[in-house]
Amino acid sequence: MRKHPYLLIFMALLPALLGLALFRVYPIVLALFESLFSTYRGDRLFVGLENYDLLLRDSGFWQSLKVTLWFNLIINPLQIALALLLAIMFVQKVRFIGLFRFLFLIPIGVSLPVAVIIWRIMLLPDGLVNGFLGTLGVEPLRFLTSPDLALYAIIAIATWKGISYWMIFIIGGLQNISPEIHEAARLEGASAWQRLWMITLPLLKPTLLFVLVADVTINFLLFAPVFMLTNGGPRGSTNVLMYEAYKSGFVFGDMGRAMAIVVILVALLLVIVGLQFWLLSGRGKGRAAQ
Amino acid sequence: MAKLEISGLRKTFGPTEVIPGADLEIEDGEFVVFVGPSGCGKSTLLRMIAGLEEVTSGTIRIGDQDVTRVDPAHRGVAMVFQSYALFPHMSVAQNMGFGMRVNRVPRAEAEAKIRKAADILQLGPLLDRKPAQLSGGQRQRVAIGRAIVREPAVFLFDEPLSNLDAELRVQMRIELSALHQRLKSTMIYVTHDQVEAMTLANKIVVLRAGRIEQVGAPLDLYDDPDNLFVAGFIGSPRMNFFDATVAEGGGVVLAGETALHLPLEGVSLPAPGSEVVVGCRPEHFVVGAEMGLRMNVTAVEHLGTVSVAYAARPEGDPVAVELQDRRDVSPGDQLALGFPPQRTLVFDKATQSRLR
Amino acid sequence: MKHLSTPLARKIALYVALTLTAFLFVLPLWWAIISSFRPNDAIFRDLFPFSLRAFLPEPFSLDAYVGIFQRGFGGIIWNTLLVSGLTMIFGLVVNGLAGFAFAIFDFPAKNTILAVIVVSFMLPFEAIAMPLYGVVQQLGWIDRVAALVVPSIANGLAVFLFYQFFRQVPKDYYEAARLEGASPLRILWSVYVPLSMPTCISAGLMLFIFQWEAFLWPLLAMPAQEFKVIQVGMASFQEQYTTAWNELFGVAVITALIPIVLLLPLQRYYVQGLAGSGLKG
Repeated sequence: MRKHPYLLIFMALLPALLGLALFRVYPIVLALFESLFSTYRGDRLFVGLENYDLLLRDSGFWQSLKVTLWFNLIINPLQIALALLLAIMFVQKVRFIGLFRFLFLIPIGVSLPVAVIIWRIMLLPDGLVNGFLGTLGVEPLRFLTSPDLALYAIIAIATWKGISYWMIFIIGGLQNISPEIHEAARLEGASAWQRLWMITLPLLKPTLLFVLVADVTINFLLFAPVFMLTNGGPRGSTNVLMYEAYKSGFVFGDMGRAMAIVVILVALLLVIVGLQFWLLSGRGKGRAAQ
Repeated sequence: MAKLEISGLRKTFGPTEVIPGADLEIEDGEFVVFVGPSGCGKSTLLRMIAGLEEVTSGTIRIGDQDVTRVDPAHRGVAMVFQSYALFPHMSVAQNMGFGMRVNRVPRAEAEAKIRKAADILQLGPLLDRKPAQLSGGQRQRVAIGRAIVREPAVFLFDEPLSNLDAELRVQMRIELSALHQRLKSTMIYVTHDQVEAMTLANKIVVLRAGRIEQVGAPLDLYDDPDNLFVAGFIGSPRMNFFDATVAEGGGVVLAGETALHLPLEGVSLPAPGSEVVVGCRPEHFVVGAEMGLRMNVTAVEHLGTVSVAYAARPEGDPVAVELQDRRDVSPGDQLALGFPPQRTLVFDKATQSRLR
Repeated sequence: MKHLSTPLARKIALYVALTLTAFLFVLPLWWAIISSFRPNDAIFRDLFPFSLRAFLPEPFSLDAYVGIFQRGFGGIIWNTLLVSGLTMIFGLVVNGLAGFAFAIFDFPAKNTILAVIVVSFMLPFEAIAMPLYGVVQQLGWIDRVAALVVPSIANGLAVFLFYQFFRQVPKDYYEAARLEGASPLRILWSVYVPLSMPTCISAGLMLFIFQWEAFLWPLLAMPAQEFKVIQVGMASFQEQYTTAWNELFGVAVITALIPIVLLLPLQRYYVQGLAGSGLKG
């Protein structure tokens, strides 16, 4: 390379970097900025941290935060465990596995809104699921309209839709583990169960960490099922922060409050993701050093 | 075909100096081999000649043009990579014709050149295959073919045989020699294998830590090395080295063998008492000499044409002795090794350079 | 798992698990498909009491699909194909170029920029959808197709996928082609692109499916709802025609089927491309 092709590099990077800067990085800055303003009778007023102050004294916000955290506490471990199970089934080499593999990928093609619509009808009091349960003698359940069940119905639908996607990344991790390591462990007399706990899972940790972080990120900001199924109800039981923000901004026209919620949500997310990295990779280092 | 001249060539990566300053002249039509242990800078030097690595300072001239800052495509060089770098999605013919397609050479002309190169390398029947369908030796030939069609002034080879098995390597070595005879182009070849260097080169350039240690014809380096490193690097099994001191009244005394006084010829030794290193090639020992170094054989390798006996030493590498017709030696035997006065080399222990 | 130690028992357990899982994955879609071929008043038949006939499209009827297209859903499909296709084509070029530049060249602050890109794709679109509304509003793109396409073209994950793949291509290919006199762009087109077909496919599918599934952003960016994309169209269809169950199912089936049809022949590349991205970074 006679001279450095700086011009070429610049031209090759420009569109992507410009796009990312303008439509990814700048909005984040804008959100921070906007959260310091309030709209009062059509006038935009600088209010400093007042939006945040109001939020922290707003029991609706705290209720919504609680829902968000509870939702995530359940859905993330559930999705990862099921995705791992799915991935292990996916990589088995048995007859007809090609067919099963394809069927396992179906939810990736089904968008979340589609999944939501189909499941909504399936979960109606007189829908398929209740018909099914009826044969077992269970009275019809009001999955989506009872405050005790709605959040879990949403968790089930999002899990149905999501785990195939996470499975793919775990498959990548599984494929990186050389079969010889498994064979060696087998010759040492380790059972399939022991191999899973002592070989597969430790070696899969970087992958699982990535999936966990990405999964938490998505579930923290989950919006479509709440919007389409419950509108935050019944009695606020599914009113996650993302939906609360949407309502503030686009239903009540209070962009300042909406942005403040989004900022808090993202800040919270960063703390949680940081915590996961610290916990998981920190402990991993300790183990590797032994 | 052209002469190549390198002067004051330096290469640094940040604070590390990879090549501190190399001067070298390569005549038109020579087959030059850069040889040295891994990390000695031989590949870097080659890649600088190709233009793939930026030059920190100094100049490279090909023919009568200064190409130091010329784009690699316009230097008139062609390179055969260690990995061959055949484009996996293109057929053999497309691989060989890639450069001509890029440079819009007319189709008929390109096809004629590909055909000609394929004939030279016996690739005719393989032209429509993909690299994945070829054996290692065939891929190697395609890579060479891709270089040939460019009709370069200088061919560059970067360890081209290291991915082949032993047998194929010998065969390709002979083919490369024949190719050089036929094309009479300037060729520069990088390897860490001194056997390849010895068998292929008109001229060997021995490198260590970015410095050129010695340049010369293969047998000159073998018989008349300039320093300890070259003496030890060229030749297999390698030359045996012994610590010694210069004795009063000429000759040397081996360390720990006070009784063994070696007379030497054709060497001007330093003052008595100076520390030196004595070197003798395995095949040069006089086995069964009266005034000899007594060694206990610890291992024997029968290579067929010769047998090599090894005697472990408390310090340093084992002593290797090549036995032409003594096949009956076995571990536990004692050998008396005499040092022939004309073929025993002496090196200064401090500077490591040869005393002549 | 000790009681499953015989190979046969384990195999049976595996098949049971596979079948059960596959059944759970297929069930909703299957029920949607057969229901979309029933007349509206027969949707909930055979459920109470439950009978296996619930999984068969009888009585058979095409009413749903006729109804959907009469209500103008064809235009919505076309809109979405347009938006997704444009995003995919521009996205492949833009992100592929950037991935190539990152993989091949060294330049100041390269690793910092890469880190920012990785972080940017870790943060989902939903997080910035509302502030993005402000940016797009300033550009005057609200209710214009550009609002859907342009912000989605530059995609950190796609850049990263290409970067990861191109980095694994032996540098020798690049250098060999350089020695032959090919320009960097020529090398990208003649050597790297043909080699990266699986990556192109998975990045392309990713961009396409991302747009196909987009819901929150089109909901915000196209408030006039004159140009509807499929997910939004479906949601509003659900609100408008609450009890047209069979049509709702039909809409859902069409919406799901197009990406699945794309995924079917390309699934191997898609899985390899994404799984192979390794995310070792």
